[in-house]
Amino acid sequence: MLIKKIFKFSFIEIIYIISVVVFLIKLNILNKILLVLETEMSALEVIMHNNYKAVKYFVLALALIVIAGRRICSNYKRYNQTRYEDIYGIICIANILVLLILIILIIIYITNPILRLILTASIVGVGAISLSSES
Amino acid sequence: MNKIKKYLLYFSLEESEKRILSAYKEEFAITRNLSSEELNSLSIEYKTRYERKKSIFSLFLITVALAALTAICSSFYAFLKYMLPLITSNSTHDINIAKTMIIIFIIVLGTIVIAIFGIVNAYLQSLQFLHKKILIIDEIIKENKGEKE
Repeated sequence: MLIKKIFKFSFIEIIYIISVVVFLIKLNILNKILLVLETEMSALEVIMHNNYKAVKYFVLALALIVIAGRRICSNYKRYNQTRYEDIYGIICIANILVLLILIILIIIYITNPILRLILTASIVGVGAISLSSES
Repeated sequence: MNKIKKYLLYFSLEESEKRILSAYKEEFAITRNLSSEELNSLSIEYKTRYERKKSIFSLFLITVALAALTAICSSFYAFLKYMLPLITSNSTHDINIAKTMIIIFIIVLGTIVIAIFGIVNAYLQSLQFLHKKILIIDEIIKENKGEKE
């Protein structure tokens, strides 16, 4: 009965957790490949590798972080509505904690090397623009 | 069949009005149980908080958001101007580099723009929430005064 209650109350969160776990596993595999490629190619070439797979993963990570943020807001609202009573308040807090942990995990996994590569490429781009505007 | 109909009707205007009404009734019932002293203190607290947030929004947040959006647009224009010779070149390598750089720039700038809109939207929502609370409290205070008279 309790499991059914939890399942019904946080159905979206459960789907989100499953999709994030699958995403993180796939991202981890891609990270390993990119770290090997990074030693042989430039940042731009690594980003271009396998039809911009790194960029696609980066966009997906951003989307997942935005969704998690929205869910944290709605869980906080629901927590306030429950007036700190019964099991629903505890489920809301647990949901918020799990979502926060998932956001941190996504950020950790996307930083090395995808975000680093993207930032390197953008810094090079900004540098080139400022040099060209000066000359 | 009924369940599907219920889910489909969830986004209709009628259903959303029903949800708003039930939330209002719930909030009204909770606030009504407060004493007049509590109501006054809450009213003052929410009103001052609302005014403070409103002035921060109009003076600071909007200015910063507009400045950031203008800077983003101008930097994107400068970037495209720089990329033009690469895009129009005959070398496939150059075109690929230009394509990648444009994609990266669009993603980075898009993220910043979405973040700005998200912050402004969240701030507006919090203002709306506070205004709603103030209106409910004022209504109850008015109702209590009417009962006394």
